[in-house]
Amino acid sequence: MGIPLASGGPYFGFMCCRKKHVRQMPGRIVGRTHDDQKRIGYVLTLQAREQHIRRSKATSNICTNQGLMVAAATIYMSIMGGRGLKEVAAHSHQNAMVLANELSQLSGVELMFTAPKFHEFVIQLTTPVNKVLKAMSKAGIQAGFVLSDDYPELENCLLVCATETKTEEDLQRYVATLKQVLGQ
Amino acid sequence: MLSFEKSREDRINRSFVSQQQFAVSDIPEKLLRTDIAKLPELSELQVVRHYTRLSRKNFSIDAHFTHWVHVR
Repeated sequence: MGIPLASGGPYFGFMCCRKKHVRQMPGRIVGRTHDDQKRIGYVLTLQAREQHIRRSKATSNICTNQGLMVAAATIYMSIMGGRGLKEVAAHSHQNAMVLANELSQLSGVELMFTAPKFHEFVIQLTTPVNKVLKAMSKAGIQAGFVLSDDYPELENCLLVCATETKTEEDLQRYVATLKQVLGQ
Repeated sequence: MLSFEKSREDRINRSFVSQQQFAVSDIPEKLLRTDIAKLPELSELQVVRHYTRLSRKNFSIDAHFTHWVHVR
C-alpha cells in the first residue's frame, strides 16, 4: 500500500468494527457531514479520545509518523486507482505461486497447507530453519519468517512472501540460493 | 476540491499500471472480489498537483501569522 517494509516498521493497517463497538476504536475517526448550506465537510467525529478525556494522563497520541504513513498510502492509492490495486494483488499472487511451485520441486522442501493462498505460503524444511535463514541472509535474501517460535507444531517452517516488487530474476535467485544452501 | 471529484472513469497511469494479465485462476471465484475498489482515477500529474496544493494549506509558524508569543 505504498509503505515499504523497513526493518519491522513503521507500518500501518486497517481496522474496522461494527457500529456498536465504534467508541472502543483507538485513534480518531473522520466523518462526512454538511453545514447549514448543505456543503460537504469532513470533521473529526467521536472526539471522546483518550487525549481529550484523560488529558495529561493519556498514554496514546497521534503523531507525525502516522500522518506521514497515511499521506504516503493515500497518494499511492490515488496513483494506482482501483484497477492498479487489483493488478498489484494479482501480480503478487502470481509471483508467490511461481516461487512456491519452484521451491516445492527442491528436495528437502515441502509446501504446507492446501488452502488457497494470496501472496504468502508456508514451506517446511528438513534442515534447521534458522541455519538456512542465516545463510540466505548472507546472500542478501530475507528468506521468510520462522513460524516455529509462534507455532511450535510447525517445526522448521518458514512463511515466505512474494509481492509485485519482485522480478522474475529475484524469484530465480531465491530458488538458486536456497538450492545452494541446502547443498543441492 | 476532493481528489474523488477530479476522477474520471477508466483513467490509468500507464507508468505504474502495466495492464498485463496475471494468473489468479487457482483462487476460488467466491474468494475473489467482483467489483473494483472505489478509488479516484487520476493522472500522475493530477495526483502530484493535488497533494502539493494540500501540503501548502498547512498552517505553520514559518508561513503564517500566529498568536504564539516568543518568550525569551
